[in-house]
Amino acid sequence: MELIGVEAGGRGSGAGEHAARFRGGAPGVLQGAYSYLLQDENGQVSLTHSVSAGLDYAMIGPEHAWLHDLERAEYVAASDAEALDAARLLSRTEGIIPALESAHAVAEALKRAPAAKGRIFVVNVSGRGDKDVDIYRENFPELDER
Amino acid sequence: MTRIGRLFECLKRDGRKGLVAYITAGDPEPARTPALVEALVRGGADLIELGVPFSDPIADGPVIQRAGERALAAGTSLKTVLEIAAGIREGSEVPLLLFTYLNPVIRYGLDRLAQDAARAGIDGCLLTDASVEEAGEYAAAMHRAGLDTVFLAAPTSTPRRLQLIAQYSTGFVYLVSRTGVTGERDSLSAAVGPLVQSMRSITGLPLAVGFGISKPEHVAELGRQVEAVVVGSAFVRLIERNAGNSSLEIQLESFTRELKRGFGAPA
Repeated sequence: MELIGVEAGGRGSGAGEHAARFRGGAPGVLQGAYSYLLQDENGQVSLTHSVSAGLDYAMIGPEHAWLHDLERAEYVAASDAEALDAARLLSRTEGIIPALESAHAVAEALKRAPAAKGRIFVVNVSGRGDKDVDIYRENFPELDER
Repeated sequence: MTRIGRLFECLKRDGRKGLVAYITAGDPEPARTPALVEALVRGGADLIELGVPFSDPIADGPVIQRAGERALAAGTSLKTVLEIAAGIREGSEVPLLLFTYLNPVIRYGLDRLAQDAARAGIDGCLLTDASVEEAGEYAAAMHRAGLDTVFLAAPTSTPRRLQLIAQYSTGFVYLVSRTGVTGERDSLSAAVGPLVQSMRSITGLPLAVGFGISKPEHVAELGRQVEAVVVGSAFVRLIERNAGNSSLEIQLESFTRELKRGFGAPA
């Protein structure tokens, strides 16, 4: 079984534009934990951005750092726009409104599915999107017009 | 023995107590720090803690947080602080303690920092956010370079942790007067007395108390219990309020003298 982690690609690849810790992060200590940390060359912690509040943080959980370094899991990133689109698709087709955090995983599954016919995907929808309705409305103004 | 060790020997011999002054290096700008340190020393500060600004200062209250932001905005890094220290050392023998969060140190490299800090004339290092259980490698690197390692002990530290703090500390042990972050308070916490007693029972090292101390009365009260008292936010606030004022150094000197008077005449 392959394990795939999906980080917040935000709105760009520059410092402060995303929260993809495995893209440009380096081992460091923040708030008592040692893990991959987005930081500058002097060890100052970088600002981050993600449309998803739960991913908008400079450090990744140490368990993920371990799985990454073991090469047991692969880590990729989905952009804000990809996560929002995936959330809308899942809501429309399955009636499941995912949390924006989980929507990043849905986005990666959508990218991989066409080339993986016959394989089984398990997507961890770890949270519900009720909490994100305001952000969905902001990003999909057409939904209000119906 | 470092200048820190020699300071505490002198204090003991003379029956005096020490005033430790913390300022954030690079606030309001790196070029200003040496003159501020000189002013503190003229006012009677016995040891200077040079704070390294950090983006996420979890041990600090708003006053020192703001100082860190100003210092970072002025381009201060750990490397800059070492350069500042070297500049201070050219004209002064005051003991210097580097006061820093862990991440800039990891990024700089433990051994490289130890060597560069020693070369800059720094006497010791205190990491605010490193757990003493994992301090072995760090302490060894600092000690190889001849630097002291000062650890923080809090009212909530367990007996096991106090043992480790005593084991890894050299120079002195820094007692945190209360739970919470740095910042001035009107009155002292009742937690200090028991913490002093616990520490005395396991170490002969000098003790300093800090966090929340801003008045000569505080200095007076703590001076009866420990070898040194640390004042930080009160100095930093004075710097913040008077950064654009040419009398800043004079004010800093006179406030230091006022605090120092809290100890009274040598015993």
